[in-house]
Amino acid sequence: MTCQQLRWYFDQLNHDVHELPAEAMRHVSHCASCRGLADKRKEVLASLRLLRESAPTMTASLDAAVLASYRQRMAIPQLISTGSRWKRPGIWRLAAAAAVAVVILAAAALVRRTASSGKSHAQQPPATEIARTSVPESPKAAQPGEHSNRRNVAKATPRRPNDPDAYSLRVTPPIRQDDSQGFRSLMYCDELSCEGGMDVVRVELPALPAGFLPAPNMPIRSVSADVLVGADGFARGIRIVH
Amino acid sequence: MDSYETWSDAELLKAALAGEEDAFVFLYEKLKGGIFRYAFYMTNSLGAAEEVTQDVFMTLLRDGKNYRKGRGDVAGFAFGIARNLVRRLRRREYVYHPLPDDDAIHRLAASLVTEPEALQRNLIRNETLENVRMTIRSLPVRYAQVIVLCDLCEFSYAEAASRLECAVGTVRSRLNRAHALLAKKLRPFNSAKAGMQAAGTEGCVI
Repeated sequence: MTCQQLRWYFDQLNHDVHELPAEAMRHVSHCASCRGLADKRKEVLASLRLLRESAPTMTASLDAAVLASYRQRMAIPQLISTGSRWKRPGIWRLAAAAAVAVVILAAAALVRRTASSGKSHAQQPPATEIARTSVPESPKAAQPGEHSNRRNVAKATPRRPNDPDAYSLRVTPPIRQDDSQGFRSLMYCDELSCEGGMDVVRVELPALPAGFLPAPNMPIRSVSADVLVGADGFARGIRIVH
Repeated sequence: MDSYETWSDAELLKAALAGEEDAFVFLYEKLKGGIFRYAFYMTNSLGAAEEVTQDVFMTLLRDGKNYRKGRGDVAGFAFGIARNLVRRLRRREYVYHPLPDDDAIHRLAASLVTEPEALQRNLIRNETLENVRMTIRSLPVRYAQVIVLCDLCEFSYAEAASRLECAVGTVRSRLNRAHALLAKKLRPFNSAKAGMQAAGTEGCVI
């Protein structure tokens, strides 16, 4: 036997040197390097054998404790099932799917809401613009029922298609507290307490539609009035000027 | 309980989970020795080994439903739990060393009177044991595991490979390397021990 073969024995087989075949033992007795290797192995295996033989034994209390734990666990099966419910992978998958569905629905609702509010914003011009468009420069702009936001303004505008210059309108700066005297509320928005700034629009109305009955022998005259227009385009109050 | 001899570990576990206490006891008796020894040699602590052994069986009862036959035997599954627990203990260095009780001290005192020669022998033996334990503990975990399984728990290579979830050849090569490392680390202790034995009791200067 060669040194290489002996090392192969040591590598492949976890045998004690005493269990080596006679041929290997003969080689060990002659070869100094292999003898050193075998002695080293012998020492290690002897130490490990000593350690193995000195292994402590388990105490009886451990057996009793394990058995008691088993009985305790088996006595409350419902607790076990409740505790392990959320550990089942199916539950988590279901919960994850539900969460994803909720997120998708919420996102869809948000997108829809944003789109609709953007559309309404796009359709609703600023108050000043509404007031301007309600000027009876063009009779079509004063058509009632064109848009709900313009309804009140349109009502306040006279229908005089043949004489468009007969009426005037101007937008004044936002009203001050002392300028608010003499206005009569036109809408549910009581007094002048509506939020947001208001514009005062001076309009001229024919006396008849305005409710002023002229004398039979007198020609139809116009009435000047200041109309308070809110930020939303609704007329809030009116004050007869002349 | 004799009828359980023919049952496989998987069947025993299933029966134990269903509430059959005898099946659990049989499975426990079958597996506890290997798990306890592994935990003891890996932690060098009796208390820690018992704690690990108990926790392994409690975890087996809790997570036993997750066991799949195709992925290995029940012993390997339980051993995997033990390995994780031991790793956690080693990381925390959560090892208690119990103090000797009164009986142990009385026995030691009596032995000093009745057999003084045995004292030196016992001292050397205990020191050797402690050195070997500490040396195994100082090895990298993969080498310590194969020494504990093959040399101390006396598992076959195939069983050790199954517990460690690796090939038999890997176990062989690791064990060979582990023995070489162990021999190298034990050399200073062994030469000191030889010196003590040669000196005898007369050589004691204290």
